[in-house]
Amino acid sequence: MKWILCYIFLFITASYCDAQISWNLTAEAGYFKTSGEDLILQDDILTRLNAQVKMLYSESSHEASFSVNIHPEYLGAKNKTALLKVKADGSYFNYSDNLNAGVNFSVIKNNYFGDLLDVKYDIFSFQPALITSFLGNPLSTFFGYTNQRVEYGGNIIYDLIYNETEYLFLNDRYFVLGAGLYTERFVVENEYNNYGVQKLSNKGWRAGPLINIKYLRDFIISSSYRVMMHFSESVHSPSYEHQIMLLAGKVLFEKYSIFLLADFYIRDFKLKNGNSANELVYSPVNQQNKYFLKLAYELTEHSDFFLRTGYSKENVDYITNSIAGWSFTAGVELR
Amino acid sequence: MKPVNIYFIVIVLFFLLPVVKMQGQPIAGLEKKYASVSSSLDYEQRKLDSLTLQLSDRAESISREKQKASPDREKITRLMANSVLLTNTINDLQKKIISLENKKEDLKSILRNSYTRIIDSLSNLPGKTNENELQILSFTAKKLLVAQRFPDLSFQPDMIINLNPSSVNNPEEKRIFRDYVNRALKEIEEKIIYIDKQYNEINSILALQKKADKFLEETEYNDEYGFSRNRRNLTEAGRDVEFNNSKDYLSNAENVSGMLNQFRTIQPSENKQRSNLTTNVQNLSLKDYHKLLKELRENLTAFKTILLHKAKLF
Repeated sequence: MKWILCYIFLFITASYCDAQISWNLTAEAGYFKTSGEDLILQDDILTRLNAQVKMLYSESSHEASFSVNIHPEYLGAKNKTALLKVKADGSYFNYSDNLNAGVNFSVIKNNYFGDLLDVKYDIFSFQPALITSFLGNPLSTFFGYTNQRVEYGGNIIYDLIYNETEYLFLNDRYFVLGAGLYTERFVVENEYNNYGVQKLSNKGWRAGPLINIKYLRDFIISSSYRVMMHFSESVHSPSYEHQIMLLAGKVLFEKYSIFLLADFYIRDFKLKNGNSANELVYSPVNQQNKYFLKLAYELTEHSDFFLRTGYSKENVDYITNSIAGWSFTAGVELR
Repeated sequence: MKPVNIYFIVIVLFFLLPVVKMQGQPIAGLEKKYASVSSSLDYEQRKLDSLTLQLSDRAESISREKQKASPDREKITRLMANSVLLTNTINDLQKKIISLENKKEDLKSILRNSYTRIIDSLSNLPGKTNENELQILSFTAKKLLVAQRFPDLSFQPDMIINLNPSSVNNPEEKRIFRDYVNRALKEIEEKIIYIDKQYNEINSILALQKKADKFLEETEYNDEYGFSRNRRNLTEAGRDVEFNNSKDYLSNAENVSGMLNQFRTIQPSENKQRSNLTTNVQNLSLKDYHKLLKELRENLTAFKTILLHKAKLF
């Protein structure tokens, strides 16, 4: 049924005769140095491909887009671990004098394969949005529903309903300052299909303020911080979660560009049942730290060569399985 | 908790969608339709002006009657009842005018695209003849007449476009028109330099933003869960709304786009529904501003070509 939404957005965007179609293909290869945790125990060669096709139709009063992205990744002969991520997303936005309204959706299928691994997880996300003006500055509010299903022998299902409202204060032409509030209601359920009736679950709320700062002119610096109070059946309330993101980048000498990303997640949970590793608290997705540095050179108007290095930890399923380590890759992007 | 009913979403979305486009019709048919809609709009606008005047007279009559020492209550009631009817008629007429204006803007957009396609195909012909060049000029002039945006200029662009050098025989008159065209040419060249500077700056900002977004996509691919830490779930419109209302940005946008109505049509539109990229710079995002500058640049360059051609003929 989720794919019906994809087909509808594809039809909508394609039905406009002058929709712009763009594509993008990235191939990179390099070296993965494992942190020695969990699934990847040996350093290995890493290869990645990313292919995207996007349709965009834009007019003064509305805009529609649809894109499909395919991303396979292979962690070499020693580990024999492969990932395949397929994503489709779309949006529709309508503009009027005092109110911009629209909707985003995305459907993601992630598959992890390997000798030690066979995990699938799907994420469906639907997000209506409203943007208006309040006291002369933009005020945006996003409502969302997200459903995630992880299959790894058992099944874990996550459902979220959330709202993020943000007010943007603008200091001058190139500087943006915004603050807002995030509220989320979540339900997590663990179904043991094969191993008996035992069913763990957790329900709760997360909420807290956020702040965003951005400067964009001849270089970009963007930073956001949010703190969330976590109330749920599994933790003593309130527990806290902190998320900090820093992005910086600049175009150098016309054809070179450099970007840095640092993304931290800090959790301070006090579990009610002690520190049980099997305690079901929340989704492992979107809970990892990462740092990346990218240096790119524009070969032509339609292609780039780049070097990228960074650390990431990807939580594959709930039960402490993860892929963590440093990667050093070189690649080419065609568009 | 069950997932949201997808069918409900699909049905709601289907009814929210914009109407079918009119692309693919022959140009003569579109021009005829445009002329017809413009003419209807003129007519309805004149009707509205007349009814508004009547309503105003009626309001004055009511006011005068009330101020009398012994006002005629029956007359006042009769006048007010008629005013209500008149107000309803005016409201219906205003809705009709807005609908016609929207239709006219849609047709202008389609005509602009059609003219652009014709101009491009004529320009790409191998071994262009003089006739082809004149056809290109003719369609360029037509495109400028339906241009959505044009800078505020000290001369009348539509007057110059419609100037016919072969109809001017008097040498003195020819000299006057030639000076007028040359002065217009100089002004256009200055505007092009100014807009180029703005356009190049916005271009580099947008390019940097695009590269940053690509980098975030590559590194945060998995993070489609709940809020996006990097606000990637915002649509383009949502992100770009950050650039509205910055004071320096607005005043510059107003300078460039307050530059707006001169070339739009022979009768400027009062359509408030279409104000996103036209008169209402409050809603102008960085991307829209970039589009505005690009269109202004294209129109100015096209107009410069017309002026150079006219200057040769005088």
